[in-house]
Amino acid sequence: MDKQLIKSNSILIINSGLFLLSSMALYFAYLTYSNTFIKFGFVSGWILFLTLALHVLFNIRKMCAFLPVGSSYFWMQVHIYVGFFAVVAFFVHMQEHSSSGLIGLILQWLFYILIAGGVTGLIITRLMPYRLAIHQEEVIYERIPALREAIKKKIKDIIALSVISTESTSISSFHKQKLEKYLDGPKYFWLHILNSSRPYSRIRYEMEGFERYLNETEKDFFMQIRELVTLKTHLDYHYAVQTVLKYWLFLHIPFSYAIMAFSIIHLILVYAFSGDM
Amino acid sequence: MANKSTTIQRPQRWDTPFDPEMKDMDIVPILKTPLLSNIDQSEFPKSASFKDILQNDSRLVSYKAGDIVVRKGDYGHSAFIILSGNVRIIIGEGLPESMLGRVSLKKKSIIKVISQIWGRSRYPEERNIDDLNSIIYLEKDLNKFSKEHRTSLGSVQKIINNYQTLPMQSGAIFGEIAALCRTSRTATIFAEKDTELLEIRWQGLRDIRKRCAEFRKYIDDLYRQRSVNIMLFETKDYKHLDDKELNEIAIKTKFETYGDFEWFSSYKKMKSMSAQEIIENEPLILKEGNFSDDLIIIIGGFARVSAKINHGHRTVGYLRKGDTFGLKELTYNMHSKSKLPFQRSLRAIGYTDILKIPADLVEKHLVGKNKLSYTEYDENQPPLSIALPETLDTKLDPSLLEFFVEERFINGTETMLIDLEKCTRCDDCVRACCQTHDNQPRFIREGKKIGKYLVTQACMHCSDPVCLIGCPTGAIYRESSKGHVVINEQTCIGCQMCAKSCPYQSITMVEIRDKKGVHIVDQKTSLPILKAAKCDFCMEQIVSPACEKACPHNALKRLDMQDIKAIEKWISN
Repeated sequence: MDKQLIKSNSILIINSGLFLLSSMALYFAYLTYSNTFIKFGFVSGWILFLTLALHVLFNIRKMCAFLPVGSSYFWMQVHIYVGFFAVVAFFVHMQEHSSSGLIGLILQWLFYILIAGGVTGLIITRLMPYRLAIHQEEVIYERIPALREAIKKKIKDIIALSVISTESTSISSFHKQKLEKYLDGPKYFWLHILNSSRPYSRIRYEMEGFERYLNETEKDFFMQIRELVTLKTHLDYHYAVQTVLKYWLFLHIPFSYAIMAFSIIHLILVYAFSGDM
Repeated sequence: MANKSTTIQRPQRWDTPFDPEMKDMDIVPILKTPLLSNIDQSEFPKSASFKDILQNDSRLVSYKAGDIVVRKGDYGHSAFIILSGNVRIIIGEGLPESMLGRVSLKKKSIIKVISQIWGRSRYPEERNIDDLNSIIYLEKDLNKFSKEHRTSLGSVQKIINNYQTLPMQSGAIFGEIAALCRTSRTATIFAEKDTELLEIRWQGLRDIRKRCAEFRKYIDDLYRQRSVNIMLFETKDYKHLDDKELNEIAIKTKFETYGDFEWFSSYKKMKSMSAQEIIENEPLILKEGNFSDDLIIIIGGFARVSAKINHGHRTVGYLRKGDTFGLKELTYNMHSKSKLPFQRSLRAIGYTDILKIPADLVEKHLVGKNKLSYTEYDENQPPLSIALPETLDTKLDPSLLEFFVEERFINGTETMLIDLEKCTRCDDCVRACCQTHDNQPRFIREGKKIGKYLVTQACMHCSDPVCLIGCPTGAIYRESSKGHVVINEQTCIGCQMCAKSCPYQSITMVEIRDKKGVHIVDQKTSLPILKAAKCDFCMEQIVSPACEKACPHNALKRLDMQDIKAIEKWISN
């Protein structure tokens, strides 16, 4: 096997190895102790609870960047692989302690949502940056609305100039009919998420169709407008992709706090009603 | 009703004199010093007369026998003139660190670090008005030699017996290299007997040098002469040589300067040129295809190594202080019948100081004593394959290399690079910067982009920090321990010189506010008081730098651009 490949993927190999070993150890422990005097349901439950607590700690670590508690990258790796381990722990725990009550059911579904969100987040954070990196410009998300407004204003200025220079309102009319709405706010959100080229081709089709009716002077102005419209489409692309990158966490973090809260309730109830267990 | 603005008097150039106790009568004996007595005072304007410069930018300092005046490696801002007594320079290997009394920079305690969670300001750029109104001296840095922190070497005779030293007598000047060149002190100097020195901070030295041509020539000649000796002593390839051999080399070595020391002005003009025009405008030190009998050592600035390709020149690497050029061609020519010309061109990037050592001395003292081997002659091997020195054996993509050189990012020692294919634009780095700087981020996650790499506008803590040049008060300076460039806010007068000088737009001028969020304004003009702000590399924090540690995807890295291997390693990961 290529040494360079191994070296550059060493973290992946080590972490995957640790995950496999710990999952095998847990499953082996389950097989060995599930029918003995040790209530393995409690053991697997605590393991699951601690893995969830570790996940929540990652978010707290982010708020304390000045504390020497390891790099965020290290915590992220722990978060991902302990997450996979939590899936194993969950299913082991479910063998011992299948949920029938309301709290159990809520916990179960919260867990499914969390795992789905986490895996989705992993895919998003691995795929989306590539797509942004190959795009021409790098844009800060919070600046997009201001940049969009600046493009709108610049196009209006060009149109005003074209009306004075060419004594024709054709470009101005086209702008009112086709462009004004397009320039007003982000467009084609889901098409950009799917990395479709349709947003570009649609607007290009409209503009090319109109351009044939212009004279040379008008075409010069229209070319500037076309470039700005393309820039606006790039901004929409960035807006769509960065929105997903920023806001998927809103589907993940609230559920993590919810699952912690319900886990604590579950713990209390289990110990309260466990009897001689 | 709007809150009434807080007013203070705008700080001025000499609000913080080097020594506030310096009086007119102290200047009189100083003017009799041989070096200063010949200066024509009429060449100085009334607004900044020679006496004013001495009174505000210099101070008298006394040292007892054995006291260290400057330590090798510390970043200095001043030069010294010996008024009475004498000092000794330690040459050769130098003193061990333990004897130099080095103090590491004081980080915040864990309690203070944790208290940052709830102690954050409500308003942007909040400041404590009391801090601004008090005069704080420049010497906050622990490694500066105030009387409380002076280190003594003990017995002077013991030092002289055990280490190589050279004396300097009354009237001589030292420390000018570090003060003028924005570099670290090149040697440790201590007082041989009770000595009185005139310490001139670099702003004063700069102003005197600017006005007086004779003084300027003297200082520049001294710089050239001393740089040769220091460079030879410091270069690892020459460490095996004794004094006689080193002197033989030093006498025959030529010192040359290329380019403009204030390169950042011409750099901005060159931005409008094409890549090839930029290269062709760079001063040519050596042309590919020419022959030379000298080994070149870079002792200041940077140099571009390029190969002619088609109608242009391709950058294959860059050299910095201590690197050599032409060694393989020279050693190849030493014992082969056919002579090989230089396989690459060498050009000055901005400015470059070089030493040229004749080939016969290279052969006599370096090659053949098993210190450096001859380049093997193989008639089957095309000459082009042997030319590159080891330092240029880089695996970096050529486009990336060209980009780093053209944008002068090679200057950075803590350049922030972001891999955009890993970066999720989460801004955890910016948030971490806020958390460690009282809710004010000290960088913006934007900058020049090449392929998938972004070089952000975070201070790179340059090896040649041109931002220091224009500062009238020395508020922006290099701290002693790790050479990071920092700003002392109390002495910053908001003149914007550093922000305008910085070629990378890494310094921002901020309008400061009081605790109520109201702008602090100048008493006379009512204009907001400005302070320069930039990345300080989290010097006072336990975790440094917070931005790098906060990135969850390992996308952000602070890199020393002079360490090509580290850049290659990060890119390959």
